[in-house]
Amino acid sequence: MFLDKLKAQGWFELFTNTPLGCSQPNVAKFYANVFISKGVLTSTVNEVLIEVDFGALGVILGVPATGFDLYVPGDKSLLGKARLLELAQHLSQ
Amino acid sequence: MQPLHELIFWFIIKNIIPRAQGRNQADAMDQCLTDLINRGEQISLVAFMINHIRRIATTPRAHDLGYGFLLTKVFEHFGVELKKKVDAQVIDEKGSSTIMGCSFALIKVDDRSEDQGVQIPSVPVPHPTPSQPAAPMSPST
Repeated sequence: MFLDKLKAQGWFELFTNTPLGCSQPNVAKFYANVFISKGVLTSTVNEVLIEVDFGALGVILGVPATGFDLYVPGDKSLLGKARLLELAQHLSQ
Repeated sequence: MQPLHELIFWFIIKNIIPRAQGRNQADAMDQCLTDLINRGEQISLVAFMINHIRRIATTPRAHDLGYGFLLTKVFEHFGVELKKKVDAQVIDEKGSSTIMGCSFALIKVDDRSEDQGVQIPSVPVPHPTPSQPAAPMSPST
């Protein structure tokens, strides 16, 4: 049921690939050097330049780069009252 | 929220908009994403990821460094050498100790095959202790 929802989003292969692992020191370096401007993300990790935009990141991760993208961190007013009411109705069913 | 909503919500706060430690209230955006996933409407993971990385990198407060797992894929694509790689955490795993905690005993294949002369895989068998009834689920129940 839940996995079907992941498949519908096109995220199944990405999130079920658990042997992928994670390198904490490299992630820390990535965040230390990250810079985002006009939807393009740049960072340097171990002297390797990383530069991606939405489309390129979608291709690398193998997920669709389309769909709901209304998100500005810290801005709670993006979802209007009508939308919030609709949400409350869906989730309370 | 139904149990499925709850599961989707946990997936969101661990993977889509990773939280600073100790916060797990569902705000409007989490509810919105939960609803979208539940109804099968496409969410742009990359847009959330890039916007949230900006937040993590610029917030004055301490914040968990999210997306470690997904960034590995990005690093691999760009040929970054990865050191000290750790595997994904497995939580809520139920292993043999869980089975034994429910007062089952594990019998090894060799012991059984000597007795009965047949090869059977190692299976848990009910083995109630005198003081306890068979297979209580947890101390609270």
